[in-house]
Amino acid sequence: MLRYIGWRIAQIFVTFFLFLTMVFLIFQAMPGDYTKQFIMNPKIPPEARQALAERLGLTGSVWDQYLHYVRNVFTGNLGISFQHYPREVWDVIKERLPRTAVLFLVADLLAFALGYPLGKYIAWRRGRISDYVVTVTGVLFYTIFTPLLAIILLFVFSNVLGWFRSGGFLTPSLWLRPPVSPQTVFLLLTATICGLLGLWAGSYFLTRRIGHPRPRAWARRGLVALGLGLAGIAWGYSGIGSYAWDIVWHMFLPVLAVTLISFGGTMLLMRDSMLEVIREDYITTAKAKGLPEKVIRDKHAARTALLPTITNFTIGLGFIVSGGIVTETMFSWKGMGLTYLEAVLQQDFPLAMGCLTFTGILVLLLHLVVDVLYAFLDPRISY
Amino acid sequence: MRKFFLVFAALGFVAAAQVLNIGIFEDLTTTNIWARIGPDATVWNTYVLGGSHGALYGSVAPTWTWLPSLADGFPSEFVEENGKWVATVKIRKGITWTDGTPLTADDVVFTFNVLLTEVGGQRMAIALGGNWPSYCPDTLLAVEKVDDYTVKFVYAEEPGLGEWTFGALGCPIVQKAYWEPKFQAALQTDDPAASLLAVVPEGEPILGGYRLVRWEPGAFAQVDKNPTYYATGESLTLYEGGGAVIDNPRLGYHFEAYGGATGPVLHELVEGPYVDSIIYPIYLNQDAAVLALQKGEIAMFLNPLGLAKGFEDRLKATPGVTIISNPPWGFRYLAFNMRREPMSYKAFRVAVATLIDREYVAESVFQGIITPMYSAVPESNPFWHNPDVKIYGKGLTHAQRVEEAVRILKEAGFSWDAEPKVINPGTRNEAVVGVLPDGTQVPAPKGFKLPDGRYCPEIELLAPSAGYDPLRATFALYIEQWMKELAIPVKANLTGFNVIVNKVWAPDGFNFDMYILGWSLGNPAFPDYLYYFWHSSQDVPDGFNTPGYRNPEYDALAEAFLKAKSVEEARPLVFKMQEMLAEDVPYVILFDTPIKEAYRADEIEFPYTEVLGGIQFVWPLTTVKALK
Amino acid sequence: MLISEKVKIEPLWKIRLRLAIRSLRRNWALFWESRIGPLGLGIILFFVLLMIAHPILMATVWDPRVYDPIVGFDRALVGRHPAPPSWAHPLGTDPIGRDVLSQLMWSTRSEFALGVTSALITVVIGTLIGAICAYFGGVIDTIFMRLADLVMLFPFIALLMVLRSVIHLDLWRLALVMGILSGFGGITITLKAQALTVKVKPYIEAAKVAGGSAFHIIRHHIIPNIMPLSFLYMMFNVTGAVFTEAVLSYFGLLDIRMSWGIMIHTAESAGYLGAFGQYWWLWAPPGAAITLLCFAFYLVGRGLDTVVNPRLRKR
Repeated sequence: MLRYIGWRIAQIFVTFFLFLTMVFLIFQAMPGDYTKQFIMNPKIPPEARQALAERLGLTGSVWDQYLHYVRNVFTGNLGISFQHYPREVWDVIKERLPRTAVLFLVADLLAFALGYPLGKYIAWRRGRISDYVVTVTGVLFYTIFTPLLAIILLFVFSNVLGWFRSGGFLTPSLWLRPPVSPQTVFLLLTATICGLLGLWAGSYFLTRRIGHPRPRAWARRGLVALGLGLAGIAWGYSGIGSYAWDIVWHMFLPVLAVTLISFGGTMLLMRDSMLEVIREDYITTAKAKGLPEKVIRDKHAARTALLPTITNFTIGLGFIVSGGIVTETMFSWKGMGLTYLEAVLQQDFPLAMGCLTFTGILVLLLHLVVDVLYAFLDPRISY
Repeated sequence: MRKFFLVFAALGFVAAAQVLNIGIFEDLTTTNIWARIGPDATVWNTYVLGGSHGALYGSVAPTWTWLPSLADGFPSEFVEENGKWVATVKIRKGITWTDGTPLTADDVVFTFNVLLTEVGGQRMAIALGGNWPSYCPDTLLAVEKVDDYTVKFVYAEEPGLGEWTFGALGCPIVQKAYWEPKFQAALQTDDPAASLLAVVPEGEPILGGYRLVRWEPGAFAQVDKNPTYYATGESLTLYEGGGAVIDNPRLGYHFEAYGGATGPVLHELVEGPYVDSIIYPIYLNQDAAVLALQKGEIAMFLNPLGLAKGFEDRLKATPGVTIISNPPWGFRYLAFNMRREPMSYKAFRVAVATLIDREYVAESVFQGIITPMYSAVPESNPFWHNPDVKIYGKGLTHAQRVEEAVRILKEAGFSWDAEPKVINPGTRNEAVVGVLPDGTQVPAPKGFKLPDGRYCPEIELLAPSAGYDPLRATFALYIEQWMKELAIPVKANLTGFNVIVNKVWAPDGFNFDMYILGWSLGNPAFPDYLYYFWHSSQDVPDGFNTPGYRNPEYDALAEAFLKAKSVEEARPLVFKMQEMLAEDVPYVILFDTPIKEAYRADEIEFPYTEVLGGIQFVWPLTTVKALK
Repeated sequence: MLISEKVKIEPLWKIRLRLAIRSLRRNWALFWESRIGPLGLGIILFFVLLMIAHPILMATVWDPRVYDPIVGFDRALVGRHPAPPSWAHPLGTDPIGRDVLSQLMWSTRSEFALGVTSALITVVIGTLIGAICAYFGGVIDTIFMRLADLVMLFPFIALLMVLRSVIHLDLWRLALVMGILSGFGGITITLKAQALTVKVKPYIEAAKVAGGSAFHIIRHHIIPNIMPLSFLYMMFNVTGAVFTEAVLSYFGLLDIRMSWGIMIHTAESAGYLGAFGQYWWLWAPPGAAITLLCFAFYLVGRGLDTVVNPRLRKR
């Protein structure tokens, strides 16, 4: 196994390098360059545009630019953004990445937490009314036009009920002299979430000694609840709790929107892969043994069926750092999705490349995680 | 940079801390003045930060009267001195920066010296880019201090309006004490312009009405009022006859211009600032901003494109919200590439212009949301607009336009294999193919030929896609349809803005047949685009003269216009230029849409709401009042 | 009596044909039995009818000057656009005076072209590659998985911008690009995961021992067992393609003149989306159409459950 991991990491390096080259070539192939947009302003003489082009390094030969760029990436220097000149790319990403990651991480987790059990449920109850109702609801939300859903949510919760502002990730009047920046709050929230997730995963390990499944499940839940409680207290006493709460409050609507839209995908995927397993011989055996339905469903069927669902979910996690253009636009949540889109449209090559680099590394690593997980989930698979 | 002196009859100051919330659609990109006027010159940066610096002179909305801001009185006349041309400007006494020090000639001289410094073979103004070159024209040689409150400008030749009045005199002034050390440090580096642009101006002293106190990237920006603002309490009275009177009790300054107090008063504007803080929350889509406005979360939002009809209808029905409409300062147009056939033939361009029925599209298709435009200077600018230019096809019905276009083309030598004829003109069955009343069969027109007998080559009409701008896209499709009725082989290619720009301004020369785009036109007080868009010197790759219009008569007029010493001298020239453009039609000016804006009248009060371009240009908001 | 006289010797192809027809009939019966499968098929047929009806209507009953989905305009209702549904306009008109029903019908063609084509390409490629990778493992697996990584991370929008400047990006070409890109991307990873669970089953081992070739095993054992997932991905991909086109059109990145996405976008940019109740005919028809079409594909996929996976059939 270790050899396998080592071999994969080597592959990741090669793939990443190919990726960089491929992206560079595509951007070079794009017509025009960043300075073209200044053509539309008669006040800016051609000499000024030329000076800008030189400063941004757009006038060297293609090969020179390529070498310069590759060298920079491997030394960790992501360059200077054209649009936000002279801010560094890393600086811009540092500002936008935390709020994107937190939002989409929470939404992805919730969508999975909703889709996974529902998928199991409707697979088991195939053909009944509840199956149809849940399926239709899932598909409906999956195929609803996203901006429409966003506006409905905003209208109901922001205008009619007045619970939320109509956009943004914080309330300006509360943040006039904050002791901490929103980026830091987002980072701390990410840490909290990851910590709780780790606790949950670890709780499986910690409670394995307990014999019976029921008390074991409760012990696990107890541990997680304890973790939550501690986190809550820590935030409350940290002095920045109210700031964190303001941000979390603003997260409600976009998270709700994304969860509703995506839970159907996980749910249906889970259902379909469960159905593959459902008529397997070992399930029939388990039923013949007289094991309770729930145990068969969860312990035997679901674990194998998890494979495609987990694959989908894990790789999907890689894309939380690339955000979602529609969500970000509709909820005024300026994140990596819009940053990347603007960078590409304006041919701000360093910034676009920076965004892609993050997504690239994360997705490549997560793919490795998924491959390793296979071996754990289905003992018949080995490397 | 223009400084608008906005005046409002103040009914006393409100004691409690007042905060206005004004929504914007994009974040700031910089707080550095050099970047903000330079490469980062976005409209959003200007909305929020435009109030912090001042200039010697500026054009005041809504009348666009040119008046002194930081200066004392008008500049002197130019006199020749040792082969150069020199004029002096006096600076008002008593203006202080936020750190308490006074504004003196040193600051003015320093600002210009930065722009005039040579770095790497070119002036800093060019290296900084953006709008700086227009404040430091090539012919400006030096700016020198005469005494603490007098400055001398030295030009290589007598400057015209473009280089002086609307050039150097509009330059924002920065504080020498704060910027000199940073400038010197920047000069030591490899790229002084880049280093200067990279400075994060913490605690920079300013002299405008509002200064930035907080910028939370991605979320909002906040400006607070400047208690040392020199113009607090200053009143500007504008008279119908064009006269203006400035009275500043704080500085003890009084100035009358253009005849002073003669005739009835048009506007009386008193500077505040009246609002303690303005917060600009960022919304990324119009629906959210509209919802926020309806809720009262914001008092108004700023959108350079104005409100779309659906939003307007919804907001009309919301109590507490007022909608206003103003003409825009820009136009959308169709351009011909006069370097190619058949666009090189004036008859062809005139025929196409005749076919274009702007009124039909405006009234029927778009139901009045667009305003047809005819002249290169929009009607909304009464001083420079020429109302009597030739309009091809004016008042004609569709059938008459077709006939007239055919006539013009035939006269110039164009021909068809099957000539277009209009059947049943003016009725529901009007068409260009069918049976005439006397029974003769009229075939569909085809085979459009150039005067030399060759068939007309395929023409591509580039226009923005429906997703980007449904108005221009639809217009393009109608133009395509009208031209096709005459068997002119045209194809409308609706594509992205970038694609059009890259095709039109292709590196080795303009590569298009016809295209539809738009311009926003800069300073309404001085339409210098009339030079840039149609002077033959701009007919170079990457230049602004996209049609390739080369008319020596027009060139002479445009040059004289830029060199004019006064707007009175320039006016007849501008009128004549519009006539020529309407006659030769390198562009067919099509339309633009009025700017509709909405605000909560129960939260914010404006000194006036009728102004070219909309109240979004009533910045730096030192004259608006908050009502809550 | 000799056997050769009594038994008719049929040519092989005839036998194969008869078996195929019988199998088709049986599958159709199974499909029909599921009840929701035919429902989905019915919805798809409905859209096909819409698609066919449009040119007929335009040639006969509808005056092109009024009903053209792109440059049509109804003068009779000047000043009242977007007009609510009426006899002349069953689904009303849009903000610039065009008939909504006509737009809906005309766009069906594009959505089919785009959605179905790109989804088909994606699913076919993804299924094949997923199965091949799972079965062979080793170098083949490595190459395709790394390719999948690269394709997943591919800057699609940048590619679109490049393509658009060199070729006219119409629907078919866009569908091709989207289909191929998605086909080699994330779907292969998930389908491979599923194929892996099939590959390790005992009957695969048995088939190998019995002498089945790789091609035979992949075609007859692995692929049928991952096909339900493939059908599910058809739905995901049709939805994805339609949405991607809508979002790209929204940002002005495509050169498509009319589609359901553009209809909703026109409503949104003109500001009518937020007033749901009042101007429902501007967003409900295209929104419902998108949902229905994608839903239909899902239903068909569900209906094919039992056809593809014999273990799910009632015994």
